[in-house]
Amino acid sequence: MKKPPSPENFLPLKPNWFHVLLSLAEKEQHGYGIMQEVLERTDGKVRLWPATLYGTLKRLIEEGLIEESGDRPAAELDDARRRYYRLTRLGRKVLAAESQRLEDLVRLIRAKRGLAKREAES
Amino acid sequence: MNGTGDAANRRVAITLRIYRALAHAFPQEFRNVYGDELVQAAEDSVDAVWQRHGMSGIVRLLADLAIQVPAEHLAELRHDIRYGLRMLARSPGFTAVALISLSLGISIAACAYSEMNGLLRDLPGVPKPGELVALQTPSSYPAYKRYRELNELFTSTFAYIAPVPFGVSLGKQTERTWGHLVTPSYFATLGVRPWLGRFFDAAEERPGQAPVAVVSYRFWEEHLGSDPSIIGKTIRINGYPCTIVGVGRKEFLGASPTLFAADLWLPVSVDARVAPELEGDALERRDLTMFQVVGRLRPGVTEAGAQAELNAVAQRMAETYGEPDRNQKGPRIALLRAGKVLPLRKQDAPFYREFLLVLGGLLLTIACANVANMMLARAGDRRKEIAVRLAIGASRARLIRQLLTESMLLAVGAAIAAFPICLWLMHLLSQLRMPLPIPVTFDLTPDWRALVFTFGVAALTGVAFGLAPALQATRTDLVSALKEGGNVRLRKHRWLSLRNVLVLCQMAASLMLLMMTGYMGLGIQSTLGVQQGFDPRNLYLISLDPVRDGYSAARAERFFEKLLERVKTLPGITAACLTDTLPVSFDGNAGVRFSGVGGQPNASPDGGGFLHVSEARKHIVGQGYFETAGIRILAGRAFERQDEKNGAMAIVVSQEAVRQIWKGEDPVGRRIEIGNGEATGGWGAWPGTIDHRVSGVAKESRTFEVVGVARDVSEDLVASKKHPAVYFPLHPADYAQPSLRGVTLMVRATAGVDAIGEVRRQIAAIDSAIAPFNARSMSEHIAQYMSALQGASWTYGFMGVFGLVLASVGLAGVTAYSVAKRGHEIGIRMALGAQKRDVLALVMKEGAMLVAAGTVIGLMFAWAGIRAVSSAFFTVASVKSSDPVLLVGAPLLLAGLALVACYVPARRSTRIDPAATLRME
Repeated sequence: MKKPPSPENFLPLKPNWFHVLLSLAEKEQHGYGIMQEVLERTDGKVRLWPATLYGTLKRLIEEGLIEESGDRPAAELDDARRRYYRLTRLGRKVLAAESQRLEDLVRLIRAKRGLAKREAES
Repeated sequence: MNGTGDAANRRVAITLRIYRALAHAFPQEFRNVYGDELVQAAEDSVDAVWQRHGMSGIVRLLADLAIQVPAEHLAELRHDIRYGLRMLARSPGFTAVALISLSLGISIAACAYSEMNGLLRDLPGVPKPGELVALQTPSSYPAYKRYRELNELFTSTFAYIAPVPFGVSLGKQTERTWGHLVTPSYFATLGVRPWLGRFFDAAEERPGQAPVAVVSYRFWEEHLGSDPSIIGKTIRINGYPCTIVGVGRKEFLGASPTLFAADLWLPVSVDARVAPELEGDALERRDLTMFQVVGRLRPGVTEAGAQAELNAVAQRMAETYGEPDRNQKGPRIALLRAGKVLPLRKQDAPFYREFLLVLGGLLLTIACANVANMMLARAGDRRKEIAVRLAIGASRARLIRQLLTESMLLAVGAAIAAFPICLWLMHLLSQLRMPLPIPVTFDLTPDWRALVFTFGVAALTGVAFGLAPALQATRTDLVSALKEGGNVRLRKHRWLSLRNVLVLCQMAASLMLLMMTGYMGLGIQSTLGVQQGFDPRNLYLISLDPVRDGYSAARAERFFEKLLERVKTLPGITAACLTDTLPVSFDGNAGVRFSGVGGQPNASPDGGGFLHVSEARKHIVGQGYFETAGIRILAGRAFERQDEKNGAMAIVVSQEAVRQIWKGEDPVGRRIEIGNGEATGGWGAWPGTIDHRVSGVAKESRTFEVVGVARDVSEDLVASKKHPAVYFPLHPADYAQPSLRGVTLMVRATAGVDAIGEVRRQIAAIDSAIAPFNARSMSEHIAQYMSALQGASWTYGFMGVFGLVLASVGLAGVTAYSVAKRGHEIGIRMALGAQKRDVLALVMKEGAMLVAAGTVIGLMFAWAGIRAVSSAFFTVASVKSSDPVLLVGAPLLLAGLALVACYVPARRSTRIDPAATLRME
């Protein structure tokens, strides 16, 4: 058996991948749902176009970061054509690692900016 | 308001229709999983997109799809390749055999292509080579002047003498360098530009100019140290200073780079002392036909039209000047395509193209059949894997593509290995020196075209050997394949299965190949000429051409006299002579024609009064030739000093000439009319027979007297019936204008003496400025003479054996597969009491049937092939296609090997354990 790949191998994550993983962090969702959520979360700045979205989903499944979920919502809300996706353990780890990386980056930028500000003041 | 709403709806509807259509282009697997959702997502969001982004949003929605479709296909291909590589790595034996078979097959096909391409290639660096035409036979300069006035045919024309040897002195060394004597329009008509300096201009056509020369890039690099300031400097050519005015471009080696590659160009107006070819007002004489004429056709003028017009002009000239052949019927002028590196007649080109490609193609077919067969056997093993993938929803097309990807991987891998092999083989072939005195060079180095061809062929073969197995493998009965180990097929055993047909083809093709190559190879081997009639042991040759070292005719004569005297007195040298022609050579076999015998009056050609016309080989030899070479004089005497005087008319004839011309009567003392004829037989076309002087001697006949009869000398490349030969004395005047191989000093030494070294020392002692060339022993000379044919016969042998091995491997594979497949059946038979012998017979029978049928088909094709080949190759015409060695030997060899190949895996069938079989049941 192959060893499961380390989350670090996926970093830095492609923006599309990050957005999809983030959308699945709290709950299982179907593709259209992910699309909507990303759109709302970014105030309409990031739109995952359908073909890109499903291409990304396929790639994420192949890499083992997400999987199809067997659970379905209540029958009256369910659309039989739609598949639901959820994060795998690896996917969760990768998301955490990428978030950490971004946070570190932001901290770095802030520190630099603070320094520049202080220099300007002095 | 409502109207705009409708319009928007319509736009949305059209967008969705396009979207659905585009979504269909996704790979099937993707479509199966995501297709519906994708389309639905688009349907759900299209209104929002339209409202938010308008038209640009719609465009982006569609563009997103258009980008993702190829991306998905690429991803699938990448996946297939990875999977294919994994599968190939899993069976390294199969992969290795397949790669080797294919790379050999492809490399040989690529070689055949390169050879064809190398021979049929356009002149490098020459624009619009298709417009260039050359006269097949050389003309005189006055005739050229007439042709060049045909402005309605040609935009421009040029004439040149080739090949011309020049002695170029660089420091102390004199280098014999080949070049052309050209009209100034030579370079302009070809359309080539100089690398440095300039080419000749019209002023250089006037005689009495200071001698100028153009050198090739190669010469500039190798002998002039790539000196960028070389223009205007002088070098000594044939002993006279010449100013270098230009350097050609790298790829340019003259108008005929294959037959007469040139490194030096001098204008025809140059002084005859610099170029002895131009001696005696050569530019004014109608009988000196040594100029190659090339013209660039005007756009719209056809080759046939030009040929007709030229013929008319030539005919008028022949009548006007009363040339001896003025009543000759038929066309006088045939045109060659001069834009090619090897000028060919239009109708000859297909032969070069097709013969090589047929051989290469045959080998490739065998290799493909072989690999296809192995793939089929493998596909049998992979039935279960394939069935599983089919069962989980992969389409058949998808699986076929997967299997084809694997075969393409093999083919491309093989091509990557094949191209360097081809490069190497062609490099070896290009190195092969032809046994000719002139610089015949074949540049057969594969170029980008060959590379494209190699990969094109690889792609084709990939499909050729992959498609059938893929089709068959995916035509699987899912239930039975999944239920069981995957190998039991309850279908009736078909004799004429695809695999068997493939083996049949393979057997037939290899037999055809073996017989054709055997025919050529054996034919060459068995007909390699046996040199008899002279003694090649301890015989040494060294060539000299003092005129190219700056000597005048008189000085050359004195030099040779002195040299011969000195050499003869050397200890260890038993005999020595000067000679123009040698026993055993391509060259020097120009013919002479007898137009009257025994002093009978020469009947006029148109009177139809010819009594007898026969042709003989012409040899020009010095005093002492027969003694030195060891050729016995059977009657009369050898040449003596008095025969070398001008006006003397002594000749020596060979035994065979006596037999043919005098019907065995003693000819000594008889007189004979001899005219210069065209070179005899097939050799007429060989460049080695070029002799600028032939036409200069006389077209009219002269009377000679036979003084002696010499023993026959077999000196041919291939054994053939004896040729009559006539020996003429070498006149001192010939020293000043020898043939292209110079004057050869032939010495016989006692064993163990370094004759060449001794002679070299003597030459240096007389004048160190004289540069001897082509020093070799007679056995080296013969070996070199034979090398091309030996090489050819080896090549054919190699190809034949290669085909043989491939066919055997193929048959072994099929039998092994058949044994594996029928293991179950064989086990039951053995359980029921069948003997090992019966089982072996059962398995072998199938193989034997295939071998027999393949042999019959192969024989039929081979016979047709050989007939085609033998009509094209006069060299091996002495081997009959019904030669028993070939007709019985080749099929026996193949069948024997095939049966062994069949037996080895068949023996495995006897080791099947019936008990185990029954337990499985």
